[in-house]
Amino acid sequence: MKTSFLSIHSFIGILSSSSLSILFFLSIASIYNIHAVTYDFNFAAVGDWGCNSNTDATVKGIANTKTTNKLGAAELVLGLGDYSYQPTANCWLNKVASIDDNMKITIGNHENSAKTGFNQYKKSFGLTSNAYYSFDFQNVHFIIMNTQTPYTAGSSQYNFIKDDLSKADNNDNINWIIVVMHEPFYTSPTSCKIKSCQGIGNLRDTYHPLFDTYKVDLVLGAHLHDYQRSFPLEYNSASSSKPIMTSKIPSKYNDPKGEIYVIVGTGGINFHKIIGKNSYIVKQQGSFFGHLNIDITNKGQVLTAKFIQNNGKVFDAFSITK
Amino acid sequence: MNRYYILLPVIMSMTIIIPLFTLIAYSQKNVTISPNCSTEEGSEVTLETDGFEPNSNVHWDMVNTLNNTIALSGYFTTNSSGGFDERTYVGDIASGHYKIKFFDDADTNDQLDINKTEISRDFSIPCKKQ
Repeated sequence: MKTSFLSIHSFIGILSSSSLSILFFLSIASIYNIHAVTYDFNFAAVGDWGCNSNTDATVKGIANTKTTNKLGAAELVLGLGDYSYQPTANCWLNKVASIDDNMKITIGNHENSAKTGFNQYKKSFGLTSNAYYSFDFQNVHFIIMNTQTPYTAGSSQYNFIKDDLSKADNNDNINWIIVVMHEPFYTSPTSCKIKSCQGIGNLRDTYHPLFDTYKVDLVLGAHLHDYQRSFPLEYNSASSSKPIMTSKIPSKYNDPKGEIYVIVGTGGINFHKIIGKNSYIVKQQGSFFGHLNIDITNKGQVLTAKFIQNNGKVFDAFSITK
Repeated sequence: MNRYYILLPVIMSMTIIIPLFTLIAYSQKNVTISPNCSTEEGSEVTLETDGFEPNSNVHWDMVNTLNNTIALSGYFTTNSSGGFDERTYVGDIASGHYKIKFFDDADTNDQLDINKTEISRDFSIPCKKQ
């Protein structure tokens, strides 16, 4: 009986000291901003793929990170929209078969209807009919928007995004918020003449203020067949097509205000001619196909992005530290 | 002995003419664009070529003939006979008459390689009514 009493006491003691240890760790984690990360990882992103030998080269370039990146193969691949450019998805699905184990996609204007294979993409990637969603990967929260369905304030997509951003911003386990959408807010002028290639005003006016409020870090898009990367940008309510550059440092950022916007429409279909350079763009090119590789390292506190051409050369690199 | 004297010029001619014909045959660039027009909404287009530098790169520019500006461009790797059969998408650009120019561009710097020539084909947006 005595022994049992002592055992219970010992058990309670051990439990108390364990709880104290956990509380101590959580306090330290909170102070030093240590998030729920167990290992470094990397992911790839690119859109406007097409179905030709350049698409094959882009797939090969992503697969090559297995040997060229110290973190190994990309653990996640983000499709930024516009895939087969055909009535069915078959050709493109075959092309990406070697890298689609953990692939998430956004819908572009070339697969947004039954006539352009939407149902195939929906089935292959487990999408809902709305095709907007979010998920966490380590300490990164990804939001996949759908610029091909209603998105104005009050729409179900808007309500979902706003609510999701708020939750992600308040989640201590999340250090990065990355938004993916096909059609971009901002772009340099190009030969693409359709209205959506000029940067969509009402999309920008609706979402950029939200991105600022909830501290989105990176916005990935495509639609323009080229590569463009901006300085960190905040919304400019006085003239929304001229965003406020919060930093003019070209490549190394320390938790900047605003978001960095990257267009990666270099999957292989072709290039729109870039005919000028907006002041908020740091780097741009329309001559080489390739993909954006992003490493999350140092216990989830450093994001390093590189645009890797299909010939292996790095055209652009930038990093954000938090 | 006389027979050999007669055959000698024939053999010499053959050694010059056969490689020359081969060279001409290989350097004869061919390009087929199908279809050679698209709707204003855009169309997938097949580009089929041969006669370019084998196992190298060919650059293509789609040039608006009205203002001589490039609307679309790209490059493809050639096979062992200097050709390729590839698909791209022509859309999202201004209506009008275009020339699609193809040229050898080994180092993919968007420039015609030295001592090489380009070949072009017509393309229109939208398709002309029959």
